[in-house]
Amino acid sequence: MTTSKENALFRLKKVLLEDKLAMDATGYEMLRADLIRVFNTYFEYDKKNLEIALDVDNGGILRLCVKLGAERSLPINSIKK
Amino acid sequence: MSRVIVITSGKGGVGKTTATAYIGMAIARTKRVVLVDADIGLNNLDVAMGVENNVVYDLGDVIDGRARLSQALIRDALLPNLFVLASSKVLPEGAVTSAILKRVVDELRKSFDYILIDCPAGIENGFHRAVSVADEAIVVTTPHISAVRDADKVLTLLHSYDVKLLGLIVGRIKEEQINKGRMMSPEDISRLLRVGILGAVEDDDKLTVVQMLGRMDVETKAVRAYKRIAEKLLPKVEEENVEPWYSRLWSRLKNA
Repeated sequence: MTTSKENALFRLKKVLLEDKLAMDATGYEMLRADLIRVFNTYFEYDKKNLEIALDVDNGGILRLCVKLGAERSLPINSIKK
Repeated sequence: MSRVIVITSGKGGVGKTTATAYIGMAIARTKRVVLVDADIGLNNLDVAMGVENNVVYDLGDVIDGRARLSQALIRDALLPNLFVLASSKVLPEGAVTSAILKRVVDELRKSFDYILIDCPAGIENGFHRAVSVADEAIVVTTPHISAVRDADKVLTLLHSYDVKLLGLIVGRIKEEQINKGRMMSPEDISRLLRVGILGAVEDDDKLTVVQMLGRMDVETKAVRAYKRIAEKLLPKVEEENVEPWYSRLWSRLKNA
């Protein structure tokens, strides 16, 4: 169970991110899903431990932090045009 | 050289006016200070300072030429170094441009060490007008999601101005709730907004009651916190003493 402080911090981080990115929660989820699709294609990893965090500083610089415990990357044999 | 500091927040009701009043009072013990209410139409600094009955002329009268600036300044009854420039109740919003306010502030610079501007809530014209005439800014927030969110928007906007950010004041905090992990701490907010904390002010019922009575000469937890903030805004003793020790010694030897 999360405390009211943890809950507030989580909600606040989310709204701050949405404000900075001018992106709503659906947009964020779509971006997250796209990233997961890429990782699933090119890496073998522990899916339970995947962490994706988006953050934007006051200068407007977007930081994408991904924690991925990959066992190995899959060879890319060809790239679709 | 005088310092023009705007106290802003984004969200209304977070304690900007109270912060302006009590920080101003603390600085005025050693420096000449004027508090400028830049909230046109929703002026409250005069009430927070308990001088609402002494307002004869206001900022609007100065701008319209009905009064000289010196006539509109209200001297505090307790602190002779502290003055208030009340805002106008009747001036139409568009009548005061940044250039007009800047002229008033530049005039004040000649007579005061510190000019504290109480910024209106919101991020509309009033905000831009107040920030554009300032050298430095303080952002006030509370540990509530809406207030922090608005403070973040204000911080982003401040980046586009030639204003030095002095830090964050987090008001209305409740130590007990923070210690129990129920409320965001000032440090949590500072980390999220990536801004240093200038001060944290506890939620203070005593101060609320005292303000209703129109009294300012009180010593409460919150007032002590505002005093600590004011100390950070004052120059250090060694900074004020610009003459190096060997010069002072030489002067003394010469005069001996």
